[in-house]
Amino acid sequence: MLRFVNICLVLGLAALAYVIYQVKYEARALDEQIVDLNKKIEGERDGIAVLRAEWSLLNRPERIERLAAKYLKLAPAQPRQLITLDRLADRDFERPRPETAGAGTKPSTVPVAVQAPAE
Amino acid sequence: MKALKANPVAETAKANADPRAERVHLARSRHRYRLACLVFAASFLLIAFRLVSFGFAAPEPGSAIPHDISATVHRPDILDRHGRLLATDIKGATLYADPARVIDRDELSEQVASVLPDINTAELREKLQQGRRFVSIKRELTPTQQAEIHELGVPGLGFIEEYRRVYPVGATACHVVGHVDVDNKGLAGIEKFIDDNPQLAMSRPENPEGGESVTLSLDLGVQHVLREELSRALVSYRAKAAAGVIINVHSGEVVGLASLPDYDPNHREQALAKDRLNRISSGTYEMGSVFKVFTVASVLDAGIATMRSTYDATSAIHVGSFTIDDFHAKHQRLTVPEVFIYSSNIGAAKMALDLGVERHRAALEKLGLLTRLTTELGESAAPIVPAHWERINTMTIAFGHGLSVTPLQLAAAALPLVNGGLAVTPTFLPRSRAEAEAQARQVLKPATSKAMLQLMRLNVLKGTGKRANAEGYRVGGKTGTAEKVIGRHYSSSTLLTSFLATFPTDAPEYLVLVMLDEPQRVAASDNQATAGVNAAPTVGKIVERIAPILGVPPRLPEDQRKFDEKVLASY
Repeated sequence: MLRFVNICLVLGLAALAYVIYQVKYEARALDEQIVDLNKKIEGERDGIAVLRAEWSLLNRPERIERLAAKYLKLAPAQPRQLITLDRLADRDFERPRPETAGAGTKPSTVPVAVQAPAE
Repeated sequence: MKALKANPVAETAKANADPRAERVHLARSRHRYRLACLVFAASFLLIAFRLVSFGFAAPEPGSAIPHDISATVHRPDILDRHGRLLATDIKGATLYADPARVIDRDELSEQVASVLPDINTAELREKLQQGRRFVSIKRELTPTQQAEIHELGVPGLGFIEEYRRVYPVGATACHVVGHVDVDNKGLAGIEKFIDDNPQLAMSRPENPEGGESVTLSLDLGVQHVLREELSRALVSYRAKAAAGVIINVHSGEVVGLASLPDYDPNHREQALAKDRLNRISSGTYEMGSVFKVFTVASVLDAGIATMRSTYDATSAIHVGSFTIDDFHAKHQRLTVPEVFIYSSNIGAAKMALDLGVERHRAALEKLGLLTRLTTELGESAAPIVPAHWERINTMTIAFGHGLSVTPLQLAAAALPLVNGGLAVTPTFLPRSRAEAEAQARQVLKPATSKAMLQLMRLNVLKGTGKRANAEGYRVGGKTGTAEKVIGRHYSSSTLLTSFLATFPTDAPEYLVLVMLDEPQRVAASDNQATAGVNAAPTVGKIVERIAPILGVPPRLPEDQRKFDEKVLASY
């Protein structure tokens, strides 16, 4: 009886040792993975830093200005094209409308470029 | 052990001849047998133990190639007030050689030179011969160069990853941002300030990338406009230098600062050239007539004169060998607004004398014009104050000669004149209006500030600053044309022109100061060289472009406000 218990204990011990070993081994593999991932994250961060630098290099105001002048048919807004809603007087609404804006169409809105509130 | 017992039975049957000798032999061999078993068991155990211990051993720290980036420090990013990148770190490789592992020195240097033609092979060979463990060959390699050297496969070469500072916007904000040395240490501007105050980057960890960053009060758009308009002025008026600064009058935040000629901080060696200094904070100048704003303000503030007081400007003042005369001479009695808009030196000198030498000096002191102005930019110059402040000094300083200050200091001193009388120190870091007002001192009466705004607006509408009028943005300002000292005398042909402006004058938001060094008489400025024809229009163009960026709404008089027919039709 005692011998049986002993054998059981020894076998149990061996099994436990094996399991622990296995777990430890897996943990080590995971550790390696972490190191690997951290290195990759670092790499990605460096990549992002380069891309961010490139992004702001491409977004330099002078470059955007040059491109806008080349490809867009837009001009900077003139002061008289900007007005805030509270500055509109009633008489601004009483202008004669062009003939075409008659019949079916809803009365179009007044040409108001509403200035965004100052920051 | 059981098998062991079975064995002797067979053997006893075979050799019964000498049972005794047999038994002795058996006993001895059993001992040997046990010993052998023990040795085997022990060695197997040892192997098993070693295996397990290998299994449990921690993985080697790091990987095969050690990442050594200790040579350079990682710096926080520098952002403008809207989070646009002004300076950042990217990683670059440094090529080095380990002489102990080099097989053929000559071959190595030739191979390296084939990729990096600017390498001095003789010098490299000599360095390798000296036998140190680390020979740095080239810093800041491009990724392609690194790949090519890697392809060479020469033993003894290695790379170290190092941080390298890049400034994507180049020269646009160079004088504020500053630059770093080869080891990524701040040498000038905010870069230096960050090194001295490392807590700056830590207090703002909320940027999206999770990295450290420092936000400035600069606006990249404004900065670009300022620099571009200044460089245009530099060319069209053939000036030697141009500089400008734009400050928020309530918070004291500097939203734009440029000084031309400037340099690209990505090429730090350019910064060493002599004329590349930051004229706004490191140069001191006799600023000329813009100083009249301080004279008039201090006289009005002391209650010595009102807007209706008059001063006799019919003839020049003679003091000893000096003669004070007017450039735009009117030869009549002038009211205070007339003294201001015709920029009368005689009038200003008489006003300052009315105030008295001591009180005039105290007023300038209170505005901070006599002491060094310290900001985040380290390299600010101290004003050059006359050693003996006599009557003649008071008279000349009244119109801006005899006292040299930095343009930034002048702009800072002008803030209370337009913001209701609060002395606010300019800053390059974001600051709210409330924060600024909590620190500010009231140095002028609000009524004085209001009167000054009227005078400045009047000057743009009717006086010397007409060309600064940006349609709809109610600019007010004062011109300044100072004669530079050449040798020992003031020269009437070498001028320093400036324009101090604020907009919109009904509720000032920003202050603009532009300075041109030695503008020439060119066709673009009607063959004149005074501030009204070069500095003033430059300010006008700047205001026109920055006001929409800064969110200052334009406002036109009722009669000028009408919609284009074309625009109307398009809606």
